[in-house]
Amino acid sequence: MTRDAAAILLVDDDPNEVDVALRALDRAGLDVAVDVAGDGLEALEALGLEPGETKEATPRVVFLDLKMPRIDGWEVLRRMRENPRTADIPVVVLSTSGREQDIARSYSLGANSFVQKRYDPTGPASYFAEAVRYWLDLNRAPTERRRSR
Amino acid sequence: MGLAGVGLSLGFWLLLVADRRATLLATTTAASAELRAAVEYGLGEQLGVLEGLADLWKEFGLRPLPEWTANVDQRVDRLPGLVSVTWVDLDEPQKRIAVGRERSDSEIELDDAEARLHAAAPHFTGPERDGSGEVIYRIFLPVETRDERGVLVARFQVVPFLEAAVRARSRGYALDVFWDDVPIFSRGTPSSDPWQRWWHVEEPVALPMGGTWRVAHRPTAPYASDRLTPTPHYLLAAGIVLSFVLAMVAYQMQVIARQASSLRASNRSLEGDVADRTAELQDAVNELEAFNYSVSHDLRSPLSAILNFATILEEDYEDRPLDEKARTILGRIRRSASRALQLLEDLLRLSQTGRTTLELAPVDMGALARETFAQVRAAESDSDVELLVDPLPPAVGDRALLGDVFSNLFSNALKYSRGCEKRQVHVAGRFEDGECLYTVVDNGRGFDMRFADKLFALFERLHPEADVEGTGVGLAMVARIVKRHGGRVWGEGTPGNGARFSFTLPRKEAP
Repeated sequence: MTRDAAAILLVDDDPNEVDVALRALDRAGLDVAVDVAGDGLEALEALGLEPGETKEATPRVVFLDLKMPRIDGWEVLRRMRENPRTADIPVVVLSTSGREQDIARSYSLGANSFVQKRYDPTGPASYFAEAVRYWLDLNRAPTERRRSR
Repeated sequence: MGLAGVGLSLGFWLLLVADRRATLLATTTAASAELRAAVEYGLGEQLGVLEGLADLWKEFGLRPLPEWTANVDQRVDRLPGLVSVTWVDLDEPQKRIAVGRERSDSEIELDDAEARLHAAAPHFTGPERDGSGEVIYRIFLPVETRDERGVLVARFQVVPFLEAAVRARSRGYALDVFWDDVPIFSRGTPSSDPWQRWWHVEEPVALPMGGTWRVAHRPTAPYASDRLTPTPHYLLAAGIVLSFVLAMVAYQMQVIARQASSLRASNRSLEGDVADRTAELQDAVNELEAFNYSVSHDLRSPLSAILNFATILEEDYEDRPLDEKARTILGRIRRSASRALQLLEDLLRLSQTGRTTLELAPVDMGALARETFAQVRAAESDSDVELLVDPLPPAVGDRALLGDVFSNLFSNALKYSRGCEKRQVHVAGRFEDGECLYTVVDNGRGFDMRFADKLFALFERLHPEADVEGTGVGLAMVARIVKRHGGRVWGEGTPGNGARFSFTLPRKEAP
């Protein structure tokens, strides 16, 4: 699982959530390379959106928590959409919040999906495995990313 | 304003007064001129009569005397003021013939010089007072015939002459006649009006034989006041009173305006207070909301983690079996965490029902009941339950919240009838006392009416937790929603014989 080849960037400050999510992928039999960022700043660094950053990860999909220390999910979303290189990467917001205004704001900043994190009786974080399957297996994205808009 | 009013009325009044006085002056001047003409005419007539007598004398001489005297007498009677005519012989002044009312004029004294003077031309003398104090004047008319040289002296009393001259004229006027500044005639009292000088008119009367009379002509008090009334004093008074009233009104208006502006000011400050309070309340609400958000986010995550890891533990140890006790404990951990999570969700829902504004619209309650029931039943493991919905009166309310009401009532009905025979939920409704009444009846296990007052209290439950899952939030939420719509809610039940929950909504026209 090399960093640059990672298909997924998972941004979440809660290690428990990350563990459960990664385990859900295992249990679902999905062999996917996942890059993990512990907060918004790490995510921006991984995506090469911070000044002086040499890394230029272009994951196929980003799973983004909203409430995080330092830089929150909305800021990451805004910065991604500003940059032509990352503007088209699908972003799935993962949040415990179910507030209407949080959902609306996420979409207005360019989120492609909003999934509320909750206790899933069918298995821990199995919603995450489902979302990953959808975005990687079912969803079609352009193979050639536009370099400029 | 009042001052301006007083000024205006005063000015108007002065104009009116001045106008009336000017009119009076004009009439006085006209009357005075007329009088002067009359006096001049009278004097001319006197001279004319005397000249006639003189001609008579020249033609016929003084003889026969009786004829002449009769002629004189006749004329004397016609001339007002003429008292006597005396013929005086200039050569023998004692030789006189007097005719007229008084048959002598003994007061005539003529020395030679005078006589010669008198001989020159007709001449007036006077004024002087005769023996009885009457003001008199005389006209001397020298006459020369072939035989005699004499002078006719006519004596006139001023008062009767002028009385006759002014009779029927100048009524309403006071007259003063002066002869070389000596008052010779006075009639009537002039008005004592302080402004009488305005219409004091003096006319000079040229005497035919030289000399001047001055006729002072002034309106009398009654005449003046007659001409000046109705005086505009009433007008002035009315103007002043009106001005006063206007001033009072203006003052009152000013007072009212001042009160209004101070009311506005205090209103503004009240509005400011209200705005401040509202802002404070809004701050508090925002704080609560932020608190809710933190709770939902921060509490949800660790609870989910507990649940998830308990599950993971069970799954990971499938092939290395945990003993029974460990499984029981794990189960309890999961159930407790799950219940805590449920409670959290319910609390958030409850707080949201209180915060969102009601979006009122007509609601088909029957359709809403069926729709909601389908959702509730879908989550139920044992879905063998019948729904009966009577025709329901339509309501005006927030459809989503009313759906929550049905949802909570239905899920209670299903929860508490689990395991019963022929489960049935019956929704009925009717108009009653201006309200819409809706009832949800189940045939479940019911409840003891002794605890009915606890039904709608938050976190209160009438059944042990082990029997039926629940957080004690559902009915509290129902109560809150119905109350926000202005309705009432209550429950009836008998243990083992079903429960019956009713709520009302005010009957409204659609907004």
